[in-house]
Amino acid sequence: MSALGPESKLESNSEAGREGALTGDSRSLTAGLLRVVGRTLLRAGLLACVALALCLALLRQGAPPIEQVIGGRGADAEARAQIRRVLDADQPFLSAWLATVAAYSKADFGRSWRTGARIGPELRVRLGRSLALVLPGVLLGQIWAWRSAGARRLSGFFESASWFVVAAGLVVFATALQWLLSSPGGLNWLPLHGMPASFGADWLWHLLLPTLTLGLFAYANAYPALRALFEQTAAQSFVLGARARGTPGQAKAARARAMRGTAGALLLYRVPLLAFAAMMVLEQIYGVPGFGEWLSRAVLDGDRPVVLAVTFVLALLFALLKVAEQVWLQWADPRALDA
Amino acid sequence: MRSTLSPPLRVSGLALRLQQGLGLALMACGLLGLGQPAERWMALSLAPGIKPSWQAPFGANALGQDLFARWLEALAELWRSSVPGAAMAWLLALLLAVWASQRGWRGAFGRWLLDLGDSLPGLLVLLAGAVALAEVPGASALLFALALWPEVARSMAQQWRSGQEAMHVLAAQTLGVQGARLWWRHVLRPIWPLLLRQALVLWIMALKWGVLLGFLGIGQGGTCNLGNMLTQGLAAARLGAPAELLIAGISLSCLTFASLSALQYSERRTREWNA
Repeated sequence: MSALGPESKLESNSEAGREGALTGDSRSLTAGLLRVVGRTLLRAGLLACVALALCLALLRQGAPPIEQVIGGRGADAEARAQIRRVLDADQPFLSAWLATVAAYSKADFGRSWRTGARIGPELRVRLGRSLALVLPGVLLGQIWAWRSAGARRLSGFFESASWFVVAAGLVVFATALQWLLSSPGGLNWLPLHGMPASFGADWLWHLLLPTLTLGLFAYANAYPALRALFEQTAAQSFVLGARARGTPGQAKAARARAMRGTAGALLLYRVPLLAFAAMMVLEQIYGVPGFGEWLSRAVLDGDRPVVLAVTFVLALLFALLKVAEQVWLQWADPRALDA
Repeated sequence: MRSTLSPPLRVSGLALRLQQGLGLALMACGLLGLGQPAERWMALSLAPGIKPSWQAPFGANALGQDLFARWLEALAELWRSSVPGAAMAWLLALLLAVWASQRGWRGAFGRWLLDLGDSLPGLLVLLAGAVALAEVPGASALLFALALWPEVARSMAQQWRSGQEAMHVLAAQTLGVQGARLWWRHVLRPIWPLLLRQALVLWIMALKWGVLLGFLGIGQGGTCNLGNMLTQGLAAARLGAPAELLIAGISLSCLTFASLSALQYSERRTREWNA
């Protein structure tokens, strides 16, 4: 018998049991997480390939035909036949799809029909430029929305202002703000065009207006959802219970924990979607030769290899974001996935 | 989770009616625009930048086009593209939702299709589709149908499934009600307001994406819409003539705000109806 007596032995046994249970719980949670990651990664890869097949089918069947896009309407029959031969346009669909997937898996995205430039390097350069344009604004807006979602002061005003901005939409809001702040008819405070390619003080000065526009829009977009989530979480029984026991710190921690789960997943998918739409709109307004401008010009010109490559890369990216969302949800609250 | 449109504004009944009335008035103006000949809004018949008058109630833009005629045409374009596009997307989403609610491999395949649609960003489908359908008549409506259905299909499937599993449906099945009568009277009727609400959500999305496409100049060849009015108006506003920009921007904001109010109203009515 232990010198400490039977009570202490019982206590140490129950502690060991609790530790064992906790280790078992964390093991099963890790296993569950790994299962989710594996399953969703597999699904993401499959979905990106199916998206590519759909896009390929759409673009192959689409009008006008490839030889007309490249050769123009005036090209003679011989030139058209040569274009089809060079591009391997008469290849059966399945083998064209397999060849595209094989080439893409080696990061070989081919060449643009319009410029003849390789797509891969241009994609990297333009994506970097676009992310530098939109990310500061989107992130600032989200952080601001996150910080102010729990505040009570002026919440009604922020909510109404957010809904006016959301109702106006990104295109109208960005256009109006740009007109107000940088046109000769408005205040003319901030520069509009001529963003330099290299980073520096001038680049930051030019970045101010896009960041302000996008920051305000991202805030307006995220605030109502986060606020509603905050109110919903604050009314839950475990938060009310903690508050009733007089432990405000615990209530705050529990609320933050519960919010982190859903809001994290909310932001993981919504922020990139907003950034993608913002690339398309802001680059058009500010004349930045980035990813969005490249994609919209490729769509207008019918430059199908560029559209196909961009679709594949973005489909894969968004599918991976879905994986991240699932993992986040599983990590934050395993019950969420069952629901 | 992807929709950002659940409106939190608490507005009075009168304000709600006013907003909805404004939206309906704008859509009615669109009906007027459906009948006008293309020459009216395309012609460069006025002096550039003239002030509003009886002949041209909104004045003229920097090119000398009648702004009122262009505005009517832009609203008419909503009837031609976003209304049929949202309707087609709604129907497609409903069919897929019903399909995904089935048991067995059919249901599993339907759910996989929902996953596929959900994984692709709608804007990307819209852009890829714009290349393929560049020369197809009515391409905008088709594009909206292709890109929009995933926005609501999953929640429609959930509503359909909960409708199927409701107590009164199980009771009706026990009493021998089957087939179309069961679907129509017992499953569809209680969830009908929710499904109509999804149609409104789709219409708002179609409105916004139509403006985005018009703004980028994609898939809207030969038409005038609020998006390309904004692009053209922005160029004119930089030269000190903001009329076109203001008209398009205000109309678009009013339309979206009215539809968000209608969404809120329908939500409130649905809650009352369910209670």
